[in-house]
Amino acid sequence: MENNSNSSLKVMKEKDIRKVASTQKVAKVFGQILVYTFLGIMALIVLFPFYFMIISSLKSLEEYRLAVPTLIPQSWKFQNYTDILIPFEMAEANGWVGTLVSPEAATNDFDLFTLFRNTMFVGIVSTILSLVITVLSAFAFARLNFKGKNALFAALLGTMMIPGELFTITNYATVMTKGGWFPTFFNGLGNMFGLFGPDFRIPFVDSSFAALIVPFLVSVFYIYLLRQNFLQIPNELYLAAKVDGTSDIKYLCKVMIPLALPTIISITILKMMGAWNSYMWPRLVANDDAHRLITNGLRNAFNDVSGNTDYPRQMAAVALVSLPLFLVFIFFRKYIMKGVSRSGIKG
Amino acid sequence: MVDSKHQWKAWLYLFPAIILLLIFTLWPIINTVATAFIYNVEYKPVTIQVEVVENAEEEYLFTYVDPEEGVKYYMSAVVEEDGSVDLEYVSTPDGANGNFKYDNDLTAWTVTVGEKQYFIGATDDSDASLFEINDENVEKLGSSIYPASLFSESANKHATSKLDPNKGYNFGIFKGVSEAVRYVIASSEEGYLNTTDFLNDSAMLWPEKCKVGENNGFKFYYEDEDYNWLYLNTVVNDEGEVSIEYTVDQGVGFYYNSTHKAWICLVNEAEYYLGLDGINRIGVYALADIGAENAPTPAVMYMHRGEASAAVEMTNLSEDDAYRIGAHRAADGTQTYITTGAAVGGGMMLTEDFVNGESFSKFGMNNFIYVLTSRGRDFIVCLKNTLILTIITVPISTILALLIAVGLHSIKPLQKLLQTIFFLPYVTNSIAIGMVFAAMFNIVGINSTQESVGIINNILGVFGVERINWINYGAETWASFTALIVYIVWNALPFKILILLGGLQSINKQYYDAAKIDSTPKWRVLTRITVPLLSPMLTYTVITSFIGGFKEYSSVVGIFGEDKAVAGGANMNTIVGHIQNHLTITRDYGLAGAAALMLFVIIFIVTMINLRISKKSTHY
Amino acid sequence: MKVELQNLTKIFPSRNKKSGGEVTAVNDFTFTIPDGMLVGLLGPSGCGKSTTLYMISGLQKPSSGKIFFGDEDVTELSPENRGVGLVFQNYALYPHLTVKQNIMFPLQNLRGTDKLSKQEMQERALEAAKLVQIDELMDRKPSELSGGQQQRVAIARALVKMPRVLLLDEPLSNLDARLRLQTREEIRRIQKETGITTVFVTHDQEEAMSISDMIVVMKLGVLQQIGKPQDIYDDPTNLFVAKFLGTPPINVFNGKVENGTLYIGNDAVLEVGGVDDQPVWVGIRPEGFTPDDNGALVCKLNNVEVMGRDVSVVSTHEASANPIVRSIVNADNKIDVTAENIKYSLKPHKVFIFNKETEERIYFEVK
Repeated sequence: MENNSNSSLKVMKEKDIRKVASTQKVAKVFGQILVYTFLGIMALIVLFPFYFMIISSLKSLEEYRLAVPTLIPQSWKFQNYTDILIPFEMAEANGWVGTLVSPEAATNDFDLFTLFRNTMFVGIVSTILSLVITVLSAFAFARLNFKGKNALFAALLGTMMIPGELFTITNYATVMTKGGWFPTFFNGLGNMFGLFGPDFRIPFVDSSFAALIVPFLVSVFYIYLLRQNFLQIPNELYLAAKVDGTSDIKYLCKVMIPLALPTIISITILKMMGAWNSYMWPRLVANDDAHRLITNGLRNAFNDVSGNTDYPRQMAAVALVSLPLFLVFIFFRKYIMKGVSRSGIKG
Repeated sequence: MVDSKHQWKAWLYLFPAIILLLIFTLWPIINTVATAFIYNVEYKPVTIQVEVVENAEEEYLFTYVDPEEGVKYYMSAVVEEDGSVDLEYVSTPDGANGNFKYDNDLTAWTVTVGEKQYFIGATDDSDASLFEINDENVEKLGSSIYPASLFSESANKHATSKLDPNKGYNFGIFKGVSEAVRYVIASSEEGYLNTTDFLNDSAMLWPEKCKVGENNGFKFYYEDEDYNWLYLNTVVNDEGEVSIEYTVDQGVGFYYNSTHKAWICLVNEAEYYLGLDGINRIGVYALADIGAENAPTPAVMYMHRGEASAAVEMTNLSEDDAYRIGAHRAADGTQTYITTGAAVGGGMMLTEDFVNGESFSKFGMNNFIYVLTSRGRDFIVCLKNTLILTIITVPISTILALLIAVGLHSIKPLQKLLQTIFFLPYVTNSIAIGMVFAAMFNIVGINSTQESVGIINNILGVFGVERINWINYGAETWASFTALIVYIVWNALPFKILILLGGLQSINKQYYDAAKIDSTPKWRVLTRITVPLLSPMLTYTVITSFIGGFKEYSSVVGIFGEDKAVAGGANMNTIVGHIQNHLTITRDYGLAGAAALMLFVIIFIVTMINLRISKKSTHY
Repeated sequence: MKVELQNLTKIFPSRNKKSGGEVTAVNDFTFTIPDGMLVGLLGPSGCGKSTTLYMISGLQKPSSGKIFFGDEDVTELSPENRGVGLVFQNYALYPHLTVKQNIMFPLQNLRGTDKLSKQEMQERALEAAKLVQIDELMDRKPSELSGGQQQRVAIARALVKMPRVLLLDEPLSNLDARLRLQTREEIRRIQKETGITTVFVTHDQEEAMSISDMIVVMKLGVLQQIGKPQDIYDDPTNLFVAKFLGTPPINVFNGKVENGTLYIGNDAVLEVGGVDDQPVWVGIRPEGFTPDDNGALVCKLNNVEVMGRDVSVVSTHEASANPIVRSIVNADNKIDVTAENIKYSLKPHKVFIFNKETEERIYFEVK
């Protein structure tokens, strides 16, 4: 069949070879230029909103409204940031109005301090509690043998397939029904059930904050993830520790957790980011001034009834809200990207 | 080794997780599914039409048409199995006893069933039902049994002198007796107090106790749209004519005079009463004139809901009019109406307050039907929106992500940097950056002096594109959708790029070597080798994108805010937003659950379809 | 198409900055593969044979040196333009395409005057498939084929575009024993039929010996010997080559030459002329032993394994560099299994001596 002296590939002369070789090079370089250009354009598009946000946040409202927008602010209005960062009362008290803080800040409805405090509280408490539960559960599934283990784990995995919206409705009812067990219990808890008198209140312990924290303490996916991680740690260590009389808790703390630390860090970061970004559920259950979280506060602020939104101020607030996420991303990028690529869920 | 010690230890460690899951996962599943099948039936009072019975004088059939089903129901006396006679609505008059005749002696509406006669009445504890005409019942008639009377649809108010500052009232007037009455309601348009039927919305007056002379009186005020309180006040003009207006100043005090049955105030030491003039306007008139011919009829106060006014006794009914049937229960000055309004779908109504309805729970599939027929809400629109968004954004973002991932994969220097840049949108806050996009697409300065058009329009203007109204008042649907789609794609890119890039890096290099040996041109390598070998990742990306697309909501809120309709434009809400509205606005968990279940089913079906398709084209 | 390698060198930069040092995978290879030959690149793992193959294919660029196909210098050409066919060790069949599509794939890339019509492509593909006897399975996907079948598809794909040179990377290593025998015959047959210059890489000397026209023996990036299989077997240039080829392997002894006599231990086994006195390595092929009651080499008899036509005698000798000494002798030699010793006389052409340090072959005259 094949007669390679009649090869369909022409015998090339040396000159042609060089031409082919250089054509190759040109094609390669051209291809690279194309790729870089394409990626460059896309990168600019991706970055543009961030640029816009920062630039706008430093403009005054008039400059923002110019028919021909300025690429760089003509006058840098840092007050947009200080207006939000410094409570107006403090500014008034210190005589900073007009210098550090603009007079319009009096109408500022974005209470950064309260929002931040609430969000931090919810984030930290829910992360810590959730970690405890996750670690204990993952440990139980990974190390302990008990009847019904596999069935229970399979059932857990099954719940992952159901979309969250199905849970929201009932959880909303559970949490919000006036006089229902949930508000009664947690409000009562804040009052220590009257042990110390009717006016006693533990700060932050009430049914609204509980509603933000409690329903989401168990994340089946994180238990799964951590369990996988635990399983990779050799069982012999556990058995040896048992022989030495080590309690489970000690073993957990001294061995398992340090060895699984990367995963735990990923979980922590993703959970904190989740609290920072949460919007839908808090809107349902905690949308009042005392309990509002930062994303909800952001969305609801700066909206003028007559439609004149103070965009630069708003952009400054957005920038401030985005900044912590950005910082976390810079420092913990590896953990975030690892956790994301395995889960496909956004924090 | 199944250690017994492990057993309880395991359960101990798992205890918190299991409890929480039971409460917040398992129970919700059961509950949501269950409530989706429990729907609310509202009983609204219906207006009864009157039909004259053929060949009978003064006998009437009382009918109404079910507004939902369109079926005509007849009020009828129905004999039950145990011999008792009930008042019911039946859909066919045959064989039913529905001829009602007014008995002047009893002052009640009667019906003949077989040998006996019955009248419609109600007691304190029961609803309108049929009472046998016997000595015992007739004895109680008027005291513990109240006869039902019929009154014209537009009449129904009564005066009361005891006002509760905690309640709101509508001001009205009861004009005439035998003819249809009109209700006059205080509103503030143009400073006139116009007339309208009180069932419409209008300003409700709140009484405020005050001292008027020696009598305790009330000031009347209401809150207008701008949240200002306006008080009912008397005004004297230059000619000494007195009229009333709503002012910001505290108004005059009115007190009820039971002799005149009118509300009286003092103006310059003269007494005036509130009355309705010949052309249905409320004003104050000298008390001396009350009762005279052509004098304005005194105005009465009645509660906005519930307490209704005296019934007009009607014996001659007109087929052109509509009526409500109810019992007039005399008590300590307050009067309540019990009406036999009909429940939608049949059955007797149980309520006292005929203006309200009442709702019941029933078991069935109706919630799903209600949701689909958009009873009160906008499921179909939301569904349409969600579909459009998903179907457009998934292909665009996937292809774009693929191209970028392939590009990233093929370069060495700057790869890490570019990867980081492309991942940035992921770490942002959906809502927050949505607001940035909203700002970008906004046409700024509608109210400002300078004609600015927003940054996006500025950029497009460089290419000669006319200024487009994307998301502001009066924006066109396609423009709003475009803005939203741009944002969703922007947001979706990082995750996809990450997955696809990972997939690219996992393809065995040997295939590319083989392709090189086979002299394959670059584009052919991409389409015939890279993409097929990447198909598991692509499948995963597409499936998760579809699922995510159906659950899309936060991006809509980010750009358009909580109220998802563009003023003067389109409704941009999605299915998830629709569900949320059922929770917060409609407050109907059954409807919310039905909508959520339908969403779940849709996602499930779409995912199954996706899997089926991908099985054919995915190679592992 | 003859393939000529000139001073071909490949140096890999160090991966790990800490461990330092680069790796010279191929060190200054120069040899020519004549047109139409089946050539085996033979050597242990890490000897640079695969690297050489990949440099011929163009997938690896040499650090220095040149490669010629015929008279053309193809060193700078990318693989797409060289016109080689390569059968990968793991076949690299496109898993999402059928056998037929896999084979047709290279044809679809031909451009210009070489462009084929769909009809022609199908015909060529069918021809190639028939050649490797896989035409019955055209519509299967690679995952539905056995290892041997996959390999044949890979060969068909490589051949279908009528390459100038056919390269095979360890073609038999993934197959089971029975299939190996069968397949290597296939390769031989195909090569003879098509006449394409073929180079294959293997670490199995038996394989190389059985089908190659020429063998290139390599070790640690350095060329050891090139030649016909039988020549290399009969005339190894160094100890490594001698040890590498031959089954059962050559028996190595510590010996010395003294006064023209080769001693193994204390046994004077052979007269060797023209060799200076020195300690030497002695290699004796298994078939080089003749049981002889008067034989010079005395070994302690361990076992006699019956092989039917021959017997394999396992013995030990104190000067042996290996744990055992194995000889293959004709079964007609009745060997007393119970005896303590066995004495051998040696066939001189089966005895090789090598320099103790350089391990280079020392030629001697047979007296």
